[in-house]
Amino acid sequence: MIDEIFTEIKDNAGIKEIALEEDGALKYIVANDKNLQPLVKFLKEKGYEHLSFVTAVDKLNELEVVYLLHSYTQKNFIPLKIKLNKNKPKTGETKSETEILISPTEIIAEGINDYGLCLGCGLCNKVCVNSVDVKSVILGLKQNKNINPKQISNCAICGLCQEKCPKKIKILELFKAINKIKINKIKTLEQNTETEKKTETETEKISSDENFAVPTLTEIFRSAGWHERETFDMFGINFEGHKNLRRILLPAEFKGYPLLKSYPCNKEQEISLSSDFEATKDELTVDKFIESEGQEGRTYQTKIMHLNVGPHHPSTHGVLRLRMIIDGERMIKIEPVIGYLHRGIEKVCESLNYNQIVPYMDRLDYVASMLNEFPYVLAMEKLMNIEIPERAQIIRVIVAELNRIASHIIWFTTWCMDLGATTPFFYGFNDREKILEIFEDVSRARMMFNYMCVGGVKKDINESIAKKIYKFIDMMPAHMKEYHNLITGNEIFLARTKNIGILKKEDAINFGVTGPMLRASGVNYDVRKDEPYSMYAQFKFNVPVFNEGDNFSRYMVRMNEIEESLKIIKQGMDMLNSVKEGEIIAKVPRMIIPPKGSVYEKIEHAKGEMGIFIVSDGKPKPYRLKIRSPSFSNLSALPKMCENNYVADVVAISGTIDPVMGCVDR
Amino acid sequence: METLNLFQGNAIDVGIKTGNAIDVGIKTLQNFGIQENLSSLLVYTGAGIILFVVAAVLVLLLTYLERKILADVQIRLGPMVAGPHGILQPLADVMKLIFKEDIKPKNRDKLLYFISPILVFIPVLLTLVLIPFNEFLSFANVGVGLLLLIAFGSISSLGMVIAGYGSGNKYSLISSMRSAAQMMAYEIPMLIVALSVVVLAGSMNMIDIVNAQQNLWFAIPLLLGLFVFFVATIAEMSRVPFDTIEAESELIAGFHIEYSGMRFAFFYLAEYLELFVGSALITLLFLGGWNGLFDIPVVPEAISELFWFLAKTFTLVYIAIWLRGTLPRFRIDQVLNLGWKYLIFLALINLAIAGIIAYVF
Repeated sequence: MIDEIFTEIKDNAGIKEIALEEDGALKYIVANDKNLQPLVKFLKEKGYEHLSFVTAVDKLNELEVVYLLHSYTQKNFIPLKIKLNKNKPKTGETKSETEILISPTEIIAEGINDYGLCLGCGLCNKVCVNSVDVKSVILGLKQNKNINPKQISNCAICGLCQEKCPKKIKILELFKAINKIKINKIKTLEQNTETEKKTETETEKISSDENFAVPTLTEIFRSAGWHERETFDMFGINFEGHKNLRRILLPAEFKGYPLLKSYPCNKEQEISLSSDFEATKDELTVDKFIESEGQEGRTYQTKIMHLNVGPHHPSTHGVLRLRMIIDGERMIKIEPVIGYLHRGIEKVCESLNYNQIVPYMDRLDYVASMLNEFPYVLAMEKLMNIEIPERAQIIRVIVAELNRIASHIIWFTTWCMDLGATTPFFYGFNDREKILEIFEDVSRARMMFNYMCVGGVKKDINESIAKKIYKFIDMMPAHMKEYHNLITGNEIFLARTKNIGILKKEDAINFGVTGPMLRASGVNYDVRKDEPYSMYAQFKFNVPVFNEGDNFSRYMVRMNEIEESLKIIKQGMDMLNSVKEGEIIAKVPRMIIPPKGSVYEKIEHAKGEMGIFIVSDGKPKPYRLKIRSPSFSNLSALPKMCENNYVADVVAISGTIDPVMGCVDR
Repeated sequence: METLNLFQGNAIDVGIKTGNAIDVGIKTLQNFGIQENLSSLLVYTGAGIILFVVAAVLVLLLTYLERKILADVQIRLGPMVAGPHGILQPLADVMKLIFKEDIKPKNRDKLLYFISPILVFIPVLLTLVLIPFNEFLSFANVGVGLLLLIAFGSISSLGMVIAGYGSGNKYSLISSMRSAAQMMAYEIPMLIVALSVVVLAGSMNMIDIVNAQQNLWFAIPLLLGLFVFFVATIAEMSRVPFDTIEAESELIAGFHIEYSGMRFAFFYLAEYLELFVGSALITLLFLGGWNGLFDIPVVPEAISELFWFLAKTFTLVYIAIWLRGTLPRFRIDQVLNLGWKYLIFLALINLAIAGIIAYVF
């Protein structure tokens, strides 16, 4: 696919200086800063009109800016890359790639010396699931040769080979010992490099002197506005031509760019909320507004007022802050300010083992944690080429859909609170409680599940849980009817929602809006249907699409999605009966060490398209992990949707975006 | 001098009609040999204290009812911990409000911030004075009672505007502007409908109005008026779906956002008294006041009348709370549209109907 487009660009667009680069599961088109804009324009004409995200990877000697362009018509995506050379190549890097070799004496020191009896029959090689070369490892040790742990990096430590061995050699213990020694060696190596880095960076200033510049894409994609600001915030990359290039997630006076590898993480910076307010005070004021926009175009020449909503406000659903310029009851300019819940999860993940990352994913969108775990485990499995048992896949789909329902219920109940109706909140939470009970049985947690893992899921759905799920899906349709009676037919509700907060189809695509909001604007695209992942290709369900793009259609899309999810769960539960119980996890090593390369996997989250972009360098910790959060892009369309609306509607419109700040700020 | 006759007494010299509780009290004291002036003073002071206690008890009862009814609508239990079924919860609230720190904003206008809770509370208490519970239990029997009731009711919106402005907060400022606009929009249809009742009853005295409904409640000929008056009353009280003034999703708490402790308690008291007075007013004007649907045997007439009055009033209170549990909120421009464009029109039609009925019969 990407090769065809590559040749097409070379032949038709006349852009010559590009190259293809394969890196793990992804194939990039490498451009440079001169031909980026024409290249992207050409691709946009070809149908790649959705800029999914912009990010960067700090490769020590060069900085790579990564763009992901997605097409709704061709149903695929193109990763673009620009390489920026750094002036000073860092030392350190050569050391980190030194090979680790393990000698037989080390293994004997660990207490395993039974390998001497090996017949060399090769049986163990044949039964190994990950086709590890067990025979040569054992023979090598027997001949007193050092072994390279890369040979066994894929060992699942499943014990299959040991069962088959005619001499009953303790192969399992052998591999465990090798693994243990390997991990210890890597740890000491890393500690060494870290101390070296520390001494290096402490001499440097916190803020990087290097100034990287890339042309901006804001004129082509409105969604680039916030994504480029984030990349600037985290990497210090200067997007030339961006009109509003300031920090977005971090406070204004933060020093340094934290996702650069040279950033000193152990150094504290003291920034208070009040000093942040002080620093950003002049960004949108009445005087500035009048200066830039003038007094024209307003019906009543009353005095305009600046109103600050949040970060603590009952209807901003977390710590969203909205700066508004209002003219009486009318809103004339609005600017969302985010970053109050930024926890630096992407940076934290770089110092965690792959297994330890799953709980952090739970904390992104804390009302739909199962759905957050999904793209991460999918990405890891793709990177490592792991086959998942069918039962685990079905269970994943079931819990994901259950969580989608829970998330939508939370959304519409709190949104009704925004509109002033308090009762649906209690009705909805009663239903959500049933889902949480199921999750509690499945994962022993009500909010941060940590249920999916690389290779499958952690607990099977047994009979009693299945009964609960069946009970829930039998009960829910009647409750949906009740909600429609209570809310959907209400005249006041219709007056507050119809034709308000309109987001047109073109705007929705250009702003990178995804999920229910996109489908409410008339784009028939659902990742589950159009680019099916996991088991979704085998399920039958409809994708609700509305064309108006107003508050009401966003509400209807989500309500209909609940009903579709119920259908999927029902099918999934029926499928479960035909699959053998107990097979819920593939053979995956305890210590996950994926091969070098990068991968991007996305799913249809309750809020939109959620993706995980991982760059691995073949070590037990990810080199870079980027979270493409749906709420982030969706929220950036808020000013567009709020144009010419009332203050009361701003609250209602920001509610329909369904922003969860944990997901926006990460 | 003709016009003065409209007042059958001024604010002090009330109770010209016979059988009033206050008259009875004064006469009894006089029988004990106390001077006339002193006995009036004693009785009025006593009546004032009783009134205040009644107001306090009503508010406690109404807050409890609101919580319990709302909880019932929302499939929950409501307060259950303080006392059996949480009946002591209102008292606990009062305790909390009394002992709470009085936090004052820095940017406040000192005078306005101080007087606004009083300006909101006192007029509402005055309207309670004018509400007759039955012919015997009426504190002030004024000739133009209905006019005074509505006039006092609109003073409290002045207090709201002052509170919003004096707090020095942008949210409360927006809220107070909304309150001024909303009061203006809904006072007019309310008055026009009240006028249609006066046309039928031929008097502005509340007791006369009720007595005129002995055979037929005004709700039947003036059904349209009842609807308009009910909607306007709900809007005047700024309750759901017209609670744009206190819209917690936009304005957090509206005009009283910067008030805490006892100052806030005054707003709270006023809000719930308004709920009672509004419901009582509808009962008196349209639902026949204390005229019962049927005679209750054995029980003395005064008590059965009181029962009917309270039963009707609390039914209306229940409906108001029920609405709160069911409906979302209008936007302020929609509220004003409804008031100016539709309710005034309907109120005028209603006045015409009343005029025709009065002319024909």
